[in-house]
Amino acid sequence: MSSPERYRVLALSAAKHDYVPLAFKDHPRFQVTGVSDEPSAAGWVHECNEQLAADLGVPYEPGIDAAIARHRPHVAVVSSEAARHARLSVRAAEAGLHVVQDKPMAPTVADCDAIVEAVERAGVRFLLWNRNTQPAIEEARQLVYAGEIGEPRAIHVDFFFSKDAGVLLDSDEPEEVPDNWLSEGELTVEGIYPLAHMRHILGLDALRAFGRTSAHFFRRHAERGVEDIATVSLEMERGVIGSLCIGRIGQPSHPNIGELRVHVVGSAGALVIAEPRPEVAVYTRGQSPEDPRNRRSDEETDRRQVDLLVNALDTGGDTLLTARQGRHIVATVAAALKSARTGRPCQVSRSG
Amino acid sequence: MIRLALVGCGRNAAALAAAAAASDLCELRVAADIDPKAASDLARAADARAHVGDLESLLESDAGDVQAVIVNTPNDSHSDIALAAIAADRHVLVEKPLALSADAADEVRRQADRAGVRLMVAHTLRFMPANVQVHRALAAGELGKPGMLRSHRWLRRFPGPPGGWKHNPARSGGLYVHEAVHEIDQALWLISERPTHVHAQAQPDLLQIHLGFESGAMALCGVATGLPLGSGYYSLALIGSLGAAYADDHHNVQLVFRGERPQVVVTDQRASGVRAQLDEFARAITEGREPSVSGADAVAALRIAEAAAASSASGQTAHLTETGYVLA
Repeated sequence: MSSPERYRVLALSAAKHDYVPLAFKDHPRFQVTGVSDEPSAAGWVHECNEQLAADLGVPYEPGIDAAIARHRPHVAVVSSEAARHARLSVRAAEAGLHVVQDKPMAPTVADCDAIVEAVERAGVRFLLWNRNTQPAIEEARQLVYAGEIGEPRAIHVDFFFSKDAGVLLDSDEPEEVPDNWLSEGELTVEGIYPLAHMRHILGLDALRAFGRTSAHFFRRHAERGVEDIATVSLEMERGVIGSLCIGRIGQPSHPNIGELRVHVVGSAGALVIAEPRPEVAVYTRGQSPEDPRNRRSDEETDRRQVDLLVNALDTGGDTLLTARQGRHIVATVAAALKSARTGRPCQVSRSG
Repeated sequence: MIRLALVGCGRNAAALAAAAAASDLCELRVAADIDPKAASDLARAADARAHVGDLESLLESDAGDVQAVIVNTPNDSHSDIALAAIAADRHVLVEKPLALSADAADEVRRQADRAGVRLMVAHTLRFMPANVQVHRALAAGELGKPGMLRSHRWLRRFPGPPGGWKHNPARSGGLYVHEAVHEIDQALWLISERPTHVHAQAQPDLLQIHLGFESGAMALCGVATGLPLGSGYYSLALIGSLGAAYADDHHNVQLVFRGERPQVVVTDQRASGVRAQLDEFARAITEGREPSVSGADAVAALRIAEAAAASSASGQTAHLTETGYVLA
């Protein structure tokens, strides 16, 4: 069957982020035709959806089955609360739609298994949204695959983001946590990014994890018993040593929105990606201390991910981060969190 | 001026002699080695007296001139030479590791305490200029409570012949004892707490140590020793509850343009660290106080290095106890 000139896209919820569906806006091979969601979604979710629909210039139509019937989309873009990811993605796959889904893939490995099963049974493509199209990550992968540093031996990723999450742990200030605060823990939610970088650069999965977590900064994390920082050691395929440091470290802790640092040690050399070194730094009179000084010169990361999706849809090939790969990342996070609770290394469960 | 004897004129000796020459607090009087050429070469360069032979023969012949001894020999001789110096009532600065085992190191510490001499161990990372600034910010409360430390140190391959002592774990103590004590000491120094957990992984020339602390703080440290000859790499991030500090050796990166891709040249700050370390040793002697890196610090680092080695070998996590560790 030949590929359509433009793939029709239906956005299923924009509760979490709008940047995933917006990456499809004005793309020559995609046409976003509508926004939909479950009618039972929370009021604030409907408000987010209406805003997204207005930004895209398309209608918002609660009621997913009716929206699918009306728009006959090829692709569903799911960016709901994480707890609804599996339900919406499975529903879309069962309707024969390719699925692009926001992170985290799902709260549990069992939910991920349900997505994998639905996607594979329906024979549709699944893309877990990621940041592997950053130029430095792509170049690192090319260097490793070209053998420039020999056989990979170890990989480490720092992934720090500096945006605050409410009042600090030891503050007396009262805090009202908004309804749309969805934090399930920073390793849980954001761990996809560094773990996807590791997988992309080396092409290897984690086998065992040892983790430490802490609610070190923010009261709302501590009160909900979730982590804002974590360290993870990984035993990876082919004996490679992996590790990551991740955290929401607070606005004062970084001059930019955060830090990505990747270290890869090989048998014949090593490579470092140090994103905090600004490509462009701007300093002006009257600049607020809270304004980031460093600016990324490449803002096309999301767009390139969509470009790569076109190829996967046209050819039936793998996406940049498939359902099985995403499932393994969630299983790795689950093993690290279990290890943090038990103080012992834990196996990463494999899919069947 | 504290009068020093340097025992062991091989690797690092030139840096130590240069640091002594630059110091206003100490001077190198004797360069000692069992290799006559090594002793005479260094003595000539440092304007010191050469002594060929062991420490005992040196101390017998120096008529009390030497007040303190720097032990810069292969690892498997550190504790014996340190004990000999202590027995002769000399203060002693020992290259790390203090000994090949924590128990042997603790015996050196006990003997130094009993003799009332100053014992310092060269955990040089504490004196590297960038680390000094990080520690200063932490001590001043600017960063709040430490929550996470991440450090990486990549070194070129051990130089020297394959049969040299550094390539022989029986003489060097292996990577955990020879190198990881640096990272462990650095973590204990910056987090100021004894860890509860150690989890480690290793390959022949690279290792990773993951420390957990009672307060919830955590540290991930990596060391690689198998990189091609050339400049090394150092990087550290310390995340505190009120701020963060990032240190690396890139701030003095120079780019050399000779066509094709620019070549990176890293300015080595090690010399100023070695000088600061030597000055601290001399001050501790003069002021009659414990050096900032004590024998007890070195013993603590070695105990955790031993637990890390056991964790790595077993694939289990070492849970630290008062007297050792339990694997689980």
